[in-house]
Amino acid sequence: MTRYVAQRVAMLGVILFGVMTVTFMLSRILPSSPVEVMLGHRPTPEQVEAAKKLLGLDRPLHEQFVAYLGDIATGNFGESLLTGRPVVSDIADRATATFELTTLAVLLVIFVGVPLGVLSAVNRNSVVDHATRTFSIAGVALPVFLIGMLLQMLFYGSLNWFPLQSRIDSEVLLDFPFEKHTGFYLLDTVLDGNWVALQSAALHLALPVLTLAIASLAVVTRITRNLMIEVLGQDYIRTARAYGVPERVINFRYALKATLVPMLTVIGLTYGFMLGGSVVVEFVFDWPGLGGYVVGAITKNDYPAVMGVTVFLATMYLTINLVIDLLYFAVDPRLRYK
Amino acid sequence: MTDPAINAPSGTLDLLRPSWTLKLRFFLSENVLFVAGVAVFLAVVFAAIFAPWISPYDPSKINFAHKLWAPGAEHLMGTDALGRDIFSRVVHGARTSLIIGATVLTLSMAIGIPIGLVAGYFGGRLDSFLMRIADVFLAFPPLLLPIAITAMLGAGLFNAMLALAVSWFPWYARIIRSSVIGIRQELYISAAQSMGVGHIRIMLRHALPNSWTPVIVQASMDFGYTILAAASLSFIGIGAKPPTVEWGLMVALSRSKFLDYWWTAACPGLAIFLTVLAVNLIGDGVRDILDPRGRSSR
Amino acid sequence: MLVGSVKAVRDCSMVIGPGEIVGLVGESGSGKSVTASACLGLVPESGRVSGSIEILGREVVGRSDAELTDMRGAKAAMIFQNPGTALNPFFTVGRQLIDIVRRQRKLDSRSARDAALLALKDVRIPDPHTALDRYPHQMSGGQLQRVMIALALACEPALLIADEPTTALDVTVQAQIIVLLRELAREKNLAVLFITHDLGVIASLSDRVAVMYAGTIVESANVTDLFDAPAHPYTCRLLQTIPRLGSGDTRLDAISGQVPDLSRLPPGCPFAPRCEQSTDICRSQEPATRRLGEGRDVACHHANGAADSPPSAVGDVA
Repeated sequence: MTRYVAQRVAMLGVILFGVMTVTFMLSRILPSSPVEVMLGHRPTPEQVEAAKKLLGLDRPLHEQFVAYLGDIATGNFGESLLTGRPVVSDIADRATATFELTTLAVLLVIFVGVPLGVLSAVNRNSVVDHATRTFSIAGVALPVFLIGMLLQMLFYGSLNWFPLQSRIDSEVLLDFPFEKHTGFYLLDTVLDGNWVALQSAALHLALPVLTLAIASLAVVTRITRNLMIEVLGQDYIRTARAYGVPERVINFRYALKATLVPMLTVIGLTYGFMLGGSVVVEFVFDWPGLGGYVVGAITKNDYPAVMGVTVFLATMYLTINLVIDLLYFAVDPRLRYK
Repeated sequence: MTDPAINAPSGTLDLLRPSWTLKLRFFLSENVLFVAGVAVFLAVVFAAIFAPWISPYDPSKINFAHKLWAPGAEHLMGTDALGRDIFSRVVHGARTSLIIGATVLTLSMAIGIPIGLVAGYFGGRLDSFLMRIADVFLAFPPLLLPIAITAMLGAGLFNAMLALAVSWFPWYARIIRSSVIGIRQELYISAAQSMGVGHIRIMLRHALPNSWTPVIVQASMDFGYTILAAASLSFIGIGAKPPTVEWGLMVALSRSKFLDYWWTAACPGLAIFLTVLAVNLIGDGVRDILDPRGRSSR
Repeated sequence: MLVGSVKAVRDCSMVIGPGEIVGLVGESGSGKSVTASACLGLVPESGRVSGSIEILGREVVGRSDAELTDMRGAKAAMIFQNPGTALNPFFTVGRQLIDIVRRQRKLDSRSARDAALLALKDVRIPDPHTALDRYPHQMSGGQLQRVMIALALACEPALLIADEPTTALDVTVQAQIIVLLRELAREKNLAVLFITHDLGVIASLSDRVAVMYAGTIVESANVTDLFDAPAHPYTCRLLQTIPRLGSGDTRLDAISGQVPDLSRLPPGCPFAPRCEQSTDICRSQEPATRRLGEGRDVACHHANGAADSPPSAVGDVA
């Protein structure tokens, strides 16, 4: 098993290298040089030359690449052209906002989508099944930004149950401040016993999390349903039934465990989808996370920022997938003992 | 010698020799969703082709006098903040979306299929190398790579389409590769090789034609996703730019007003939803027909 | 376009007593597996069961899964054809055994574990303690089938239904399993319904045999009578097709024709199209089951010395 782990980690390294290469090449093919952006409009040729020298852009490409790799390895993603701060700091500030959002969304998808899929599979052609399948088909056809806006229209515009955007009320932050221990507002407010802030944070989380979750919910429900149907047709389920194991136990223990392995893959893909989708959701809800940062960076041509976030998120995604690959061992006994 | 079928009860005749109308009715009843999808899609295609003739107004015509009118007799879907008729814009947007879908898929396949062919056919180190490259592109969370690429190339619909195609090609490469590997074992390829037929010829004439099915299934399912992705890119401002009429862009432009003027966002949104839904239903149907193994969800 | 229903089993009547091993023989598609499934109410939802199946006096047909839970295993237990897929690969063998034994015999975990160990010993599994912690993929086909038998026995049923348990195994392992089953049946006074298509297995194992064709039992007798003097033409042909060493035959004998399509059965005896002795009455009228002698029934118009008698109406395990 350790050999497998070593292999996978090595693979991760190779692919990460590839990712760096791609981002490096991207950052060097821009039509407008970052130098001009930095220096403002119409710099003199001498200024451009000087700046290029400073940035190391006059050196041969492969030297630049090595320097680039070295920088990344030491956590130097360059400086944001907008904020002037190291991109790494910007990322650190905003990463937890995105992770709070995506983690909650993934949890929602797992704890609602999977049971729904199971129920759907077990009660085929019932009302629940038809409703779930309809939702699955429709949920995938709606663009994420539209879902967000529709939720805003309904739950803020009409019902006024939830706030429109942002992560927390600015007044609450002023009057009821709390210590940012982890960066996850739900945790931090609880740790401080600050119930007012907790409520505000939770209310602000509701719509963005729901938006992010809906599309994945549709997919996961459908996949769970199909998986369960397939598993329920297996011989070992027939054996369990033949020995009087009650249906509930069959469905929620014997069958469910069998769906765990492919389910892990789905969860990995879902998390990836959410990392990407968070860009749009954060834009819609003015959420102070990495997604919002990227969109802002793009519109202002802040290339180091865009590249930094891309590399960071790609690394996160790869890591999550690696963890999931390793989890297979915990879940499938056939892999553990040869 | 009388035909015994004439004396049989009328229903029996149908069962004995199903006519094509009966087969068609049966097909329609079995695959309602697929048919509905095709119908809606055809409507969208119609709108795309005949947009200039169907639109009651010029989609770019600004008319402040009619600003933000609710849907009514004069403007079926109301007007936006600049007084433009939303229905006309939605109809023209159909063109944009269909072109996007077709272009991205074609480009994606144009990149991915040759790579997959070569990887699957030659195998070995070349295969590993090409697949690693594909893995690198798949390592980016969805949308992130298109965003990065478009950011670098500059915002615009064409760049966005290129970015999407480049991000999406690994899927097609993989599919073709699996297919080709499966076929590689076939005797006729060995036979062709032993007769000295060139590699490229073998690939094009034997491997490729037999690998079409999974590609078609994948493409039909991807079409909808492509439209969504392009709309999302336009929404955050790096895809289509004004004066291009694109549904995602329309929703983006409505952001300042949509809470009070719901139709500015809902109408283009509905257009996206219906189109993608139709295309997805078609995709499901195509998959059911070409790959019946997946039919477990009945 | 396929519309309509298929009668997999059209008429099947049997009685099995304690300690008796009854073999049910037939080709694929004869309906024997469906009969076995029906005994425990395991026919899939798209099928319907009519008639009566009583186990220890309790009716099975028409009962829901919930109602049958305390019968499945505790009164009648089933073992299946493919031991490799019959056990859940995600749980240890022990976990599955103990869970089921606990449920069926209403024991606590410790006693259930002991019962499981005992059952594993009975089926001659080497080192039962380690076996409990193994996963199915770590055991061979033969071992897994022993485990299945252990599972069945541990529930202490009155009836054991074995649906082609040896078909998927090697010949040597087959022999071992058959010997094991025979010994266990005697020891525990178990009623056994053994289903197979292999006449050789039937010969070495059963006390009585029922031959099934196209959904009906065409002949039933005790094993010696059946093999020495088969009455039904189908049985005769079956026995003739068994290749014999040293007979000088160079070609394999087979019954001409094909098993009929059960959705479109012609009137009359289902075997008539392939029967050399068939006459007009065979093709027009379905033969009734007639008693030929003590424990001997045949469904054929031309069986020797047949006397009309009503077929037994229910399948009982006394």
